[in-house]
Amino acid sequence: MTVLTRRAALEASAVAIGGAMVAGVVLGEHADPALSRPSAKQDAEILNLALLLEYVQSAFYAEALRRAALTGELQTFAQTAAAHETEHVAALEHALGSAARKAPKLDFGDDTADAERFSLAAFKLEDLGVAAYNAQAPNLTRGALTAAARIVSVESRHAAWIRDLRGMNPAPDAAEPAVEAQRVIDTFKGSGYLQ
Amino acid sequence: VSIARPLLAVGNQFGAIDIDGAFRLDAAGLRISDEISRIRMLAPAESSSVRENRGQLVVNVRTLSLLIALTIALLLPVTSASAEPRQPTPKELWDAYPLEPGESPPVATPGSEVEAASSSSPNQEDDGGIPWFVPLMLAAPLVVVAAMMLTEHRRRSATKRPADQVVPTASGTAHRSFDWRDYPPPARPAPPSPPPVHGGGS
Repeated sequence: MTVLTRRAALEASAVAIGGAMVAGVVLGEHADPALSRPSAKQDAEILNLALLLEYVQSAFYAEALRRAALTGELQTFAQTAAAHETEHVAALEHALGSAARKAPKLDFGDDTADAERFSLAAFKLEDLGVAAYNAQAPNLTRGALTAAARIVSVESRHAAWIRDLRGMNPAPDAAEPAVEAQRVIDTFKGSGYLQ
Repeated sequence: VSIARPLLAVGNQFGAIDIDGAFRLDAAGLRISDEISRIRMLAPAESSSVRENRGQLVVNVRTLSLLIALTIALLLPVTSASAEPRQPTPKELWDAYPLEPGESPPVATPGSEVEAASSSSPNQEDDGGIPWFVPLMLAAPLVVVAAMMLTEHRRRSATKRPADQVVPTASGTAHRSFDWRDYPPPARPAPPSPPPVHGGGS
């Protein structure tokens, strides 16, 4: 029978505490949020997030067309994007059926007041839309991923178009930079559009 | 300036270790002197881990070690938390988008003052947290003192000298820091033999 002395127990406890602290620090630094396997339920959650984004974009363009006195190509862009976003909303609502969320209350503040503020906000919304779809792509089932890919490619065209209108590089990267899903959501919340 | 009086007493199951003159202040500043080896054994310690001995606080070695370990454990999360960068708020993320913190603007927008104002990094300001080195500076002396005490304790334990073998000095108050014993007188060469007597008298 092994006799555990107080000294041995103390030393073992110290080693265990130290090991646990080191492991906690290391794992805490590198742990990724757990993702469950793609499922129909998870598809609904992700597509509802996409639907929320589409609601915002659709309402944003509609309000800007009424309020911002847009002209020229910027007006053409807003009209084209508004029509596309409205179709995206309808497609997602149809795919989700009764699980589709309701349209949120929105307030765009002064971001639809003039052309300059509109173009800046539109650039951020379109870029964020692409990032949001890409961040959730690994969590979708195959069927939902196929439908999302058809939407995100159009969103990326919007993003390139508004970038070009703002004098920015329409395609700055060969591969879209990866942005964490939570960072996309936090950034989207930071717009203050959702009431 | 030497601090000659006992500074700390640490007890174990054999008795109490009294550490004299552990610190010496000289022109170069505070340093730990060699006099830390002046350790004497006192009467056997009581069963409690903390007790009073002639006005000194006597703490069991294990209890002291545990307290130090707990102190360090409490300080470490503060250190790691202060070392972590501050997370930007959603508003800051939106204003800086699509820039990552510390990133430069991708392309300057002609006449876009709004975007230029929003392209500053949100992480450039200091949040006023505790610097990472402050807890380390607080914990380092504790670790050094604990290591020295444990080293001395183990060295003394290795000799397995009972506590009651301390030989008092003539004055009965001071203590020797080495094992005193009576040494035999040094061997002397034999005195030369007396010279031979010649003549047999007269």
